[in-house]
Amino acid sequence: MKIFKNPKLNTVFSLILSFIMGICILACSLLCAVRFTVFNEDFLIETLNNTDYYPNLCSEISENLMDIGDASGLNKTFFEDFVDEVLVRRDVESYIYKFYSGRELKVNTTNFEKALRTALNTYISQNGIKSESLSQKNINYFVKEASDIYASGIALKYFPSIQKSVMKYTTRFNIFIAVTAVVAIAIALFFIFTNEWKHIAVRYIYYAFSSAALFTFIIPAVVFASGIVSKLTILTRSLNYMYTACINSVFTVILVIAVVLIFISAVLVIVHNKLRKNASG
Amino acid sequence: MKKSGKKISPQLKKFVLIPPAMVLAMCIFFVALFFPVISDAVSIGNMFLSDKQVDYSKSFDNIFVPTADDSDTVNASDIDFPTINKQFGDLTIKSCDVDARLFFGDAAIPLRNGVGIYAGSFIPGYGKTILVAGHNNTYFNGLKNVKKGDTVKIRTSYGNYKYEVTETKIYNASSKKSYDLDADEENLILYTCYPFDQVGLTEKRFFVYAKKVSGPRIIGLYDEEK
Repeated sequence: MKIFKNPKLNTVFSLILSFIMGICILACSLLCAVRFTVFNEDFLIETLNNTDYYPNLCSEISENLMDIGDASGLNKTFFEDFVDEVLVRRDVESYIYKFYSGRELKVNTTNFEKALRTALNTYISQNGIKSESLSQKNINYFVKEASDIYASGIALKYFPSIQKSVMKYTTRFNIFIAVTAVVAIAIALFFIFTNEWKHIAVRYIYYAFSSAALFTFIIPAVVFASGIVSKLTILTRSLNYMYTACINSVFTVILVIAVVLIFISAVLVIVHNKLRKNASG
Repeated sequence: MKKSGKKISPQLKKFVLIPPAMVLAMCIFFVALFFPVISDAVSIGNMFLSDKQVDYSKSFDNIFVPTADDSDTVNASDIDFPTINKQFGDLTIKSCDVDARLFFGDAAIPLRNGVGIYAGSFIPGYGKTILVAGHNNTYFNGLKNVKKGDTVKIRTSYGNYKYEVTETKIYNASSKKSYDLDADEENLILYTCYPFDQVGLTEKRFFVYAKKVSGPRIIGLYDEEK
């Protein structure tokens, strides 16, 4: 490359370009990791399916419903097997779809309320509860409170407060990914076309890839080695499962990207050596 | 003196040393770029991190050890003060079959396992209002039979207390007239949902008011008592 007359200046300029290219590769990699995990509804749904989130959530909702059952004159057994995991799964998935499509994050409790009223009527007739112990007002109040407990269990904590940001950044992320990829490719092409000796061009491209690979590798390595994820303190066990699994998945994806970048770097070393041999031969 | 060993080629040096140097430069670059948000991000992150493994179990701690001590006073420094969801005593009213563990706090765990003192009120011995909640279908079901003059006993690790029921009243749940947390004399208020034995949630509350008969006063709480 002969941009400047002084060869040292050319080297410094190439290193700066290589550094910028490395930053672009790194940014593109991290943005891709986030875009295809945190900003992807299928990722979240799959993560929840692969953890103990649903069984834990069902038992937590059941426990909270049992408390309100205690206050409402119902046997402990009433809510024991009441919470249906299939319904919970469907309602959580619907909540996630609403979150990513920017719709209002309101849990639809119609099915839950219907099932609760049916179960309550069966309980009243089976236990021979007298009419003086029944008041429609009290029952409605109980059903409303129970539905609120169910809705609060389904709703993913902290999601409403980040929904707008996620919506805003999803589009921006795509633009950033495209921009960083284009800049990295442009710099790589610049190296290739401005260097008479192609192995030198490959060496600068290697610097960019290997530094990005190293940085990308260090982030999850530090996170996993420090065990910081296990120190996460979230309201409930199920939410803890969810956030821990999501964070672990994001860093695993970053680790995979790092491995890919390391592989590309290794290939570039081989290509460099071959081109160098050809040039000297 | 001649150096021994194989000499590393400058080419290899470049391949090995430049990438880590660039990573270092990247670190400096990112710290400089995100400096204004780094401390905020660390603070927010620390809110969600704990040194201890989180305990999600629904079990409760019990610090209650019955005592036969019948002193008139007990020093605050000698008391193992209860924290939320801890059992620190028991509450009985023999005349109406109330016999329950006494907790500090009146959320799910206390009411699932006994009765609980509202954390904004006071524990026995303070000389203030003690507000105790319980479910009317479980531990406080017996309150439907309580009468004026009945004795309420509270045992704690630091002393045993007796209260005498003075009256019962029914209020709406939102009523502010039902209790006075600023009262200057020790008084016990037990409350539960009303009517009793109903299916569903009710809007009224049944209050039992009792005055202190005996039990040690906690001293050393305020400067003037030191």
